[in-house]
Parts: sequence; structure tokens; C-alpha cells
Amino acid sequence: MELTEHLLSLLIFVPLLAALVLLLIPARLSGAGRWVALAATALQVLLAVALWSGFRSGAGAPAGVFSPQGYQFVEKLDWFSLPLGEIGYLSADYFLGVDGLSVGLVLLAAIVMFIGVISSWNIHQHQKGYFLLYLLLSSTVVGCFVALDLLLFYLFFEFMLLPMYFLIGMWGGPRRAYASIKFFLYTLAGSLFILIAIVGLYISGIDPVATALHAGVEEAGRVQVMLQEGALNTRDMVHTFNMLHLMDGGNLIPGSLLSLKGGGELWGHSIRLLAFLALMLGFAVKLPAVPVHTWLPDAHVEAPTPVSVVLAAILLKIGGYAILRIPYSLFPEGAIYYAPLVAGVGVLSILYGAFNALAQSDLKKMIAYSSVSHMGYVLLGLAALTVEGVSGALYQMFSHGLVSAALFLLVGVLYDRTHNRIIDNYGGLARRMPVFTVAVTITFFASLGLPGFSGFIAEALVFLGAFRSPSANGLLPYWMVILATLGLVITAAYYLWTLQRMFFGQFFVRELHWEGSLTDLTPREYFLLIPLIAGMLVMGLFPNLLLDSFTPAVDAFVQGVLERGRSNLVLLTRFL
Amino acid sequence: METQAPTIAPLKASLQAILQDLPLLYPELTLGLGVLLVLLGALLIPRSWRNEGLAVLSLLVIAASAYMLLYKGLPAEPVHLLARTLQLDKMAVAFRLLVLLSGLLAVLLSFREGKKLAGEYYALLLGLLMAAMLMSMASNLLLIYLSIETASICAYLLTAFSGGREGAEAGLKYLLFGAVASAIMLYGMSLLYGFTGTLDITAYGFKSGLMSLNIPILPVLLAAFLVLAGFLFKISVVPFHLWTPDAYQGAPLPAAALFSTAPKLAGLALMMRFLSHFLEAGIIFAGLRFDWQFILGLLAIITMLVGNLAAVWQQDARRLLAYSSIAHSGLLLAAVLVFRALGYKALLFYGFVYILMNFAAFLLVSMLKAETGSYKIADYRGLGSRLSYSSVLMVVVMIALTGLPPTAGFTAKLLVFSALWEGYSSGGSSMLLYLLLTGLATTVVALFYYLKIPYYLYLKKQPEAVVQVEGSTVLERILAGALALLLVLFFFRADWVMNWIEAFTISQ
Repeated sequence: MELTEHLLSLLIFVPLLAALVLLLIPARLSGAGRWVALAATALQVLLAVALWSGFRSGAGAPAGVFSPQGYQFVEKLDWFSLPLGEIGYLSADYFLGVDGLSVGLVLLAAIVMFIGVISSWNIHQHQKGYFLLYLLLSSTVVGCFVALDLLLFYLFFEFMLLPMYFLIGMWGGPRRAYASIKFFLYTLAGSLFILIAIVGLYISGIDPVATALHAGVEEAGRVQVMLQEGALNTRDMVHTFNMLHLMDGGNLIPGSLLSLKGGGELWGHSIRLLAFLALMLGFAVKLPAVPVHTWLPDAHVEAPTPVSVVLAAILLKIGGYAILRIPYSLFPEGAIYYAPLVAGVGVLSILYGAFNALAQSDLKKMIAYSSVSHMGYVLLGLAALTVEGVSGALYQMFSHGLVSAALFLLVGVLYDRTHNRIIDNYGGLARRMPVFTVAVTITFFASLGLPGFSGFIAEALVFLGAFRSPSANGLLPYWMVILATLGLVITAAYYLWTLQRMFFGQFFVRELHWEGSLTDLTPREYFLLIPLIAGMLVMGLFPNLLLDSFTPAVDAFVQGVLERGRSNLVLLTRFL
Repeated sequence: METQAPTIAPLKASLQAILQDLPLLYPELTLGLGVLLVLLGALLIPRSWRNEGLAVLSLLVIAASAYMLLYKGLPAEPVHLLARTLQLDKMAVAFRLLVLLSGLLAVLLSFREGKKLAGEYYALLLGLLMAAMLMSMASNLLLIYLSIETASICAYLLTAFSGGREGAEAGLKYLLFGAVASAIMLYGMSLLYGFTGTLDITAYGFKSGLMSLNIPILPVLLAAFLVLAGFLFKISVVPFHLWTPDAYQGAPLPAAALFSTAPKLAGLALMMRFLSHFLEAGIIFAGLRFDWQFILGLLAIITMLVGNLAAVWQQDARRLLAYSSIAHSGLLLAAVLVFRALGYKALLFYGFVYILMNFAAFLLVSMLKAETGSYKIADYRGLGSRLSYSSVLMVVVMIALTGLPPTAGFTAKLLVFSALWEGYSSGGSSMLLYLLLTGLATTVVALFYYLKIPYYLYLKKQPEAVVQVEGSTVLERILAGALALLLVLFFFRADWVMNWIEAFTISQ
């Protein structure tokens, strides 16, 4: 058995097994919890590095996205097949694989989860439970990035909520109960929109290979022809959750609500376009985009530092990644038809998030709003549907993954010392905590997009792509992109203003006894922050390291979405 | 002798026919015999182990009944029994099995509660099961009425059985509502009999009588609705649900768990049977097609909304589960209204999973009652760290009831939603779409109140004084663990359940 054949499964099951081990160890050894978690996440990082280095990109390598041949490290097993009588079968697969869009995110997730464990080192209350939930979370986030079966994806996507709920609710701040319930309800409400689209998709689509077996047809291609001619018995159809089969219009049953030809309509709208909107809404909650972002500031403020880190650095990326993988790839006509809407929501998030960040008095809340603002760039870049724009969106996800992790760790540093995060309660911290100040300054600059840091590359690409969109594919109007640039200015404003208020000038703290506890970074904190800051710099100076891994996939993605979307739109013209 | 022969011969023939049919009714007869055995046992078994003895006896009776059903009572094709009063088809077999399963679990839950009760408790439990099984095959208005009434009387008595003010009040409320519902149903039946001249809903005369142009449509519909009201009462669909919370709160806990499953599923079976005969007639009603999906769909939507929204305000775990069971009734009814094979399969899947998760929930409430002495959700505060086993199981069960992965509760909801979508997309009424949307929207509300229990278990701090009353037993712990495990297992291996169901698809 080759290890590499099961690399993705290992990435999912290593933390799960570690969680099981934790469950079984006796309560008096619960101090071992963090060591188990550390070992498991360290192993996960090693596996992710192996995945990254084993991933082939460049000329001749599979480009990914729309065809099963485009994926690497593929694992596919039958999960179950339910006999449904007159409408055939319902089959779900244990189907994993990575392409350029996901491979880097797996690595990012593994690294952040590892850093999160170290940052959790001083959690002492209910240690066993904490690390158990943390490991479950770690398993599900990786699962989300590698699942290629919608049911499997939904399993990971939903199951993530439960550990998160308890992590915020049990180890959080004073209003943790409110924040955790709000988080759970918002995300669940969003994911129900996803569920309804998934239900519609699987009922409308078939797995040509399995159907060929049931119908006794020699080859899958013939099945597609028969399906479109209506020559296939419904009892032989194998309905599937397989994303890649569902991306192929030839596998959609003619006359079903989501089929391209003669697709259904509801209240005068094409159901395909409505399904696109439902999926977008569901993932927009996770991303989060304005106006469904309100759970995020609460969740961040109340969550303990490591959970905030994981939330900002990875969980939000699942929203962004899923938008690429599911609504954009499955309903490309929606991506074209609603491009201005998606970009509009993106611009709104950029500006609204930035203005809100400007107005916050709580440092952590300010950073939470800056996350909303930064995720807006992801939407803007995606909506542009140019190679630069989509690359920028992906780059922004990586960059924000590192930057937001560092930002929340830095807030945690201050909070650990004084248990207070109000910006106005501090002044001139540079005099007492010079290294801390340097770290904060670098991270702020990386976040606001100073050249040389990761944020610059990301935002430059996003704007390059968005500005090219009006002329290249005519999806976005210029004014929208110009409006978005305003976000850059406000972002610079709130970061610089915060730096000036908290770190420079006369030393000042609100309570006298804080003064003694304001010590500079500890070795553990160095250990956490240095890799992140180094990552931001490397990503800012050598963008090709990362870009090379996903450019072929982004090329294929943009080309595929535009081509398929335009030809699908022609079929749906009667709705437009 | 010679003059009597003509009257004796048909009597003899019908007696023989009845005797021939009997083997197919062994499951019910076994339960009936079990009632007598339990009553006898209550007198003979020494008091010191009477409860355990009777519980084991009841388990044996149920097991014997299930054996009879599976190995003797399966007809090759649908048959009419006992002078066409019962219709035994695969659907009847499936629902009878579900009733037996819930009976089995109810007896297993009774090891604790039964101690406080007299021996007749088990006799009533078995009686209720027998009536519910008859309900799932009744195809004659008279037998429909008799089986519903038998089930109801057993249920009234069980509700009042725990004694005390609470039980008596609940029992009386249940009885009053039930009596009115029965009277209404009986009135509807008498009208139907008047229109058609037959009590047999499968008879040709019934259909042709309803279709005859001499009868105006309005009275026929009224009569049908009056009959349906009786069924909806058993299923606890709004506005016939008012008895539910009080009865669940007043009745012994295992009996409440049984009320939420066996009569409800039997009522759904009855409704499907009744509607399937009515639908065929309904299409031709004086050229008017009456939209059953619309009006019953409306009730299902209201039921989901009322059940879920009312559950949000509940402080008592039993009342919470009562409203949750009302909410689930709405979704189960929605599955019936698809009127297609997939809806029927989804209904059976949901029914099966619903039995598992509801009994698990009631069992855990009973275990927590044993630990804290209270049914109040607020008294669960901080138990998570002290009673980690039951608390973790509780989280699993609540997640299953909400319908989230990785539990079979999710698969059940997924199948109902799929059936609704499929029904809608193959040209069904847009009511199916509204049912689907309501089902989705109310899931969010459901999460809110189901989460209340884990919220108190884990997110609230434990009060200073800890009351330890009796503690849960090993049997309860094993049973709860097994149920929760099955709920997770059947998510990953939904095909196992579906293959069993496949064996019980309507063969018509």
C-alpha cells in the first residue's frame, strides 16, 4: 500500500484517531491532551507538506477543476447506494482529490491548526474536552477542502459547527453563550440554502458510469446520449452527489428542475440561477459577506485566541474556497449573470467592513471587521472572472490566512497580560514592548497591503483583474472597481490610526497595575509569530512560489466558467 | 334441520374463512394473549420482582409477536382479512414492525418507571400496541373506529396511570379531547356510510358511491374531513394537537415516548390507506379535482410552524419533546402528501429513525431525571462535566432530532426533502415546494430549542448544591449508548435501512 495513495484520508483521519485516543485516556491523564493534539497536528503538517511537494503543477500536469482527470491524490470508494424505486438509486461516494485550488489551502489549514495547538498551551480548563473538539475541527476543515462529493462535503461543512459551538461557548469570553448560538444559527441557516441546492442537484443529475452498469450499457458516453434522448429508464438512473459529474451538463436529466434544457422555473426565474443564489448565500454567511456577517464580530470577540485564529485563518477560507468549487463550477451561468451582484456585495463588504473597523474601540473587534473587509476582496476578484482576479482572490485567502492568524495572536498577547482590549486604554506601548510593537507594525502593514508583503500581491492582483474585467469580459463596471479602491485608503487609515494611538507617543495605560504585567513577547509567542511573519514576507517577495501551484488550475477555472457559463446562458435566455 | 341449512351454510363458510385468516393475525393475537398473561402475572408474581418479571414477560410477548409477523404473517400478495375489514399488504407489515419496535423500546424504558406503577401498566401497553397494529391494516370504517378507540382508551388510562394531580388532569384532558375527536370522526363515518351504503373503503361500492353525481361534492368533502380529523388527532397535527404536551407531561415517561411513536405512525398508515382510496375517487368528483395536497399541506405547514415555535418557550424537557413530536408530525405528514413511492420510502425511513431518536431522547430525559430529580431543562445546568456519558449522548440525540449530520436524523430529513423536491419537479403541486421550504426554515428554529439542552449541560455553570437522587442504571446506559450509536451508524450506512425498507415497498 502506497502511503501517497491515501494521503488525503490520512490527513482527515489522523486528527480523528487522535480525538478517539483522547476520548479513551483516563481523566487523570487529561494533561496529556495537548501533547496528543500537538503530535496529531504536527503529523498533519508533515502529511500536508508531503502532499504539497508531491503535487505536480506546471506543464503536463493535470489542471483540475472540471474533469476527474484534473485531480491528484484521488481516492474514490463507494459510500452507499440507496434503492429509491421508480426514480432509480441514490449513490454517494467517499471521493477525495486535490487540484491547484485546494492543495495550498490544505497546507495552510494544517499549519494554522498546528499553530493553534501551541497557542492553546495555556488552556487548563477541561483540557481533554478542548483538545478533543479541536482535533475534530481539524479533521473537518481538511475534509472540506478535499471532498469532491457534495454529501461528503456537506458532512464536513456541517459537522464543523458542533466543535466550534462548544469551543466558543465553553472557553469563550463573557458573552460566549450568545456568540456561540448566534454563530451556530447563522451558519446553519446558511447551510440549509446549500442543502436545498444539493437536494435539487442530485435529483437532477446522474452518475453516467454507475448508470451504465445498472442499465447494461457498455460505455458511459453512450449513457449520456441515451439520457438526453430520453431513452434511459428512470429505474436504472443512479443519482449522484459527485461534484464532477454534476458539473457536466450531459449528466443532467432533461426536464428536471436543474437541467439546462427545459430547466424549471419558479416565480418567473430559472431554478438554476436561483440555486446559484442559494449556494452563494449559504457560503456568503461563512465567508462572511455583508449583510450576513453579523455573527463574525461576536464570535471573534468572545472566542478564545486559538479559536479566533482558526476561525479567521481557515474557516472563512472554506466559504471562499467553496464558492469557487461549488456555485461557480456547477452553475457557471450564474457566475456570469450575477457577476455585478457578487462584486457589489464584495465592494459593500470591503467598504462597510473597513468603515466599521475604523469605528471600533475594541482591538479584536476592529480586526474582526477588517476580516470582513478583506474577504470582500475575495468576492471582487472572483466576480471579475479574469485570471488575475481569481488568482488574487486565492492569494488573498492565503495572505489573510497568515495575517489574520498573526493579528489574533497579537491581540491575544495583549489580552493575556491585561485582560483588556480597548484601544483607548493604551498608549505608547512601543516603549514597554518594542518587539511586540514591531510584530504588530509588520502585521498591520502586511494586512493593509504594503509592497513587499503578501497582502500587496493579493490586492494588486485583485484590482488588476477587476480593472481588466470591463474590457476583457465585460462583467464588471469600472465605477464599482474604482469605488472598491476607497477601501484601501480606509484600511490604511484604521491601521495607522490604531498604531499611532496604541503604540506611539506617551506611555499610558488605563489601570496602573497593568503596567507591571506588560512584558514583551515570550519565547512561545516568538515561536508562534515568527513563522507567520516570515510567511507574509516570503509570500510578498516571492509570489511565484504560491502562484505557480494554482495558476494552471485558475486558468482552467476561468476559461471553463466563462465558456460553460456563456453557452448555458444561451439556453436559459427565456428567463433573462 | 333442513330449514336451517341455508342460514348455517354461509355462517359456516364465513367462520371457516375467518379461521383461515387467523394465522396472518397471529401477531395481534399474540399481543392479545400477552395482555391476559400480564394480568395473570400481575397477580401471581411476587411483589419483590413483579416489575422486572412483567417487563420481561412483555418483552417476550413482543418478541413472539414480531416472530409471528416475520415468519408466519407475510402474505405473498396483498390480501383482505376477516370479511374485508383488514387489508394486509407490505405497507401494513412495515408499519406493524415499526409499532412493535416502539413497543419493545417502551418496555425497555419501563424498568425504572414501572416500579411505581401497578402491573396493569404492561397490559395497557400491549393493548395499545395491538390496537395500533390493527390501525395500520384497518380498511373498514367500523374497524378503523374500533382500533382507534381501543388505542385511545389504552392511552387515556396510561396517561392517568401515574396517579397524582398531574396525571389525572392530563388523562382527563386527553380523554375529553379524544372523545370529541372520536365523535367527530364517527359522524363523518356515518355520513360516508349514508352516501355509499358500505363501510368497506376498498369496496367498489364505496368508490362508485362517492363518485355518483347525485351527491354534491361539499358534503362528501365534509364527511372525509370529519374522518380525517380523527386520524389527525392521533398523529397530533395542529389544530388537533392540544392534548399532546399535557399528556406527555402527565403520563409515565415510557408511555409518553410510546404515544409519540406507535399511534402516530399507525395513524399515518391509516391516513395513507384512507387517502389512497379517496384520491382515486377524488379526481373525478363532478369534474372538480379537489386538491388534498393543498389543504393537508397547509395543515402540515402550520404544524411545523406551531410545533417548532412553541417548543422554543418550553422549560420542561417533556413538554419540549411533546412540541418537537408535533413538529416532526408536520414533516411526516408532508412525506405522506407526496403521494409517490419516494415519499412513502422517506416516510418509513423517517419513521424508523424517529422511533430511535425519540426513544433515545425520552430515555436520556429519564436518566437525567434520575440524576437530578427534575424534568426542568434549567436543572441540567453544568451536568456536562459530572455526567459526561449521558451528556454526550444527549448532544448526539439532539443533533439527530435537529437533523444535522453525522446522524441518521439528517438522512431522514434529506430523504423527505428529496421526496418533496422530486414530487414537485415531476409536476406536483407547488404546495410540495412550500412544504420543503417550511421544513428547511423550521430546522433553524429546531436547532435553537434542541440546542438549549446541550447549552444548559455544557455552557452553564453547575449550581452549588448537587442533588443526587438515584442515578441511572447500567441497562439504561447501555440502551442509550446503543440508540445513539445506531443513529450515527445509520447515517454512514443509510443503505442498510433502505434495503430493509425496499423489502416493504407497496406492492400494488
